[in-house]
Amino acid sequence: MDSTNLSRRHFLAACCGVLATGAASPGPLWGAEWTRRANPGHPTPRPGITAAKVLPDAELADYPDSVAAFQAVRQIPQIVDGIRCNCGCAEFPGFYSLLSCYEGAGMARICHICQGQGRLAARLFKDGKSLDEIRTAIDARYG
Amino acid sequence: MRHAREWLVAVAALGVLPAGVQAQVRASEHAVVAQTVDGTTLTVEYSRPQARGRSPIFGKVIPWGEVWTPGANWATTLEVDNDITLNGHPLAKGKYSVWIEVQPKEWTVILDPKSHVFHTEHPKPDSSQVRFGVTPDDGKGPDLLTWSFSDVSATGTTLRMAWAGRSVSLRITVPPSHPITLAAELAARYVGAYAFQWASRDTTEAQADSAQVKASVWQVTYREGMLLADWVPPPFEEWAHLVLIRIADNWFLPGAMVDGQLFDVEGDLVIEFAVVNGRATGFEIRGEDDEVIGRGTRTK
Repeated sequence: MDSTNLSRRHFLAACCGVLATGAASPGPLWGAEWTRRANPGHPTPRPGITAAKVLPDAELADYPDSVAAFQAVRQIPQIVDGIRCNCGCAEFPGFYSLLSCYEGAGMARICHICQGQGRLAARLFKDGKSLDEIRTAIDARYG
Repeated sequence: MRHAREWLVAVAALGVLPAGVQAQVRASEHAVVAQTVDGTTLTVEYSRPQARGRSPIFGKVIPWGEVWTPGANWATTLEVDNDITLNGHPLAKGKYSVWIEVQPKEWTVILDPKSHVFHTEHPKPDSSQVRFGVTPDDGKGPDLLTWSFSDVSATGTTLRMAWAGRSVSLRITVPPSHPITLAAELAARYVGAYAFQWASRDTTEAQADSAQVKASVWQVTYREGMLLADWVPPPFEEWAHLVLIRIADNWFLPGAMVDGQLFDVEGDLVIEFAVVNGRATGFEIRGEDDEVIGRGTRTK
């Protein structure tokens, strides 16, 4: 098959997994509209915040693609708690920060935006970026 | 009869029509038409009169010289959630009532920031208004007054009003969400040739396709103020020619160029260049989940 025969829709579904994942998403939580939202501002990290409530790997067995993102977020809860999620889950009750996406119902198990923001934050933190620099990058990429 | 009409106008103007009255069939039904262009949303709200055999509408039903709202009942409104240009005239973000002073040849379009106005309250000339002349087109129909967005491009759209053999087309230009041009000194670091290879990812049908793992070439050039990438062979036809749209230092969104025009910007992907000593050594394409989809390595 010549590469130019590939359709744009097919390509993006393959690259981003958005179409396939969205179609397979179960449960009422996932019925929420998944579009990027304007970012009104980032939250202030809560003093003493830890990754204690981040879902353990045992609860990710059905979502292997998300494991790396959860592992990354567990390393930097104080950073991820200072970032607002842009996928729309910020409107759910009890939401505080991107860290919330990795706790409780675990939206980040299936949401590529939650995963992407978490991975990007971890990658930039590893490169020595500050929280403000990470926020700026998140806004440029996902805002 | 006259008293009844005046009463209805007064009650409608107060916005206190009981629900049962509001729910009835109207001679000029309410309509809303909206269009988003590059993140700017344009909304026209109006009521739709019908010619119903009255002819001519312009010059008789609507006398020459009348300042008329192209609709019925409450004045037609245009709401824009960004600053735009309308037929080349700046129009600030906001909601406007729309009026047209009709004459046999040249019409004057009037946008008045006082938006919630009944159609009988014709606006007086005011410095807050945007006014400009247009030449209406002649034609047939439609019987039902119609506002529409007759074309859409990456930079704007055409808003058209048509009724009873006359129409006006208003060219709208929206501000770009990201400029597609780039300063030459910034672009220079990326210009060159890159060998591109898809990263190995798993399981999906398309990724299993051999085309996904075939190597290809990116030729990045700077032309007409834009950073452009010719992709050979492209993953699909529309991506043979890309404009790289800068969103942050060394980060770009891919924009598909078709026939020399920006056709589509893929915001789910980002191209991240690695720059060493002021020169790009390669790039990664990352998906929405921040995973690497493919890599380019400079060859020239």
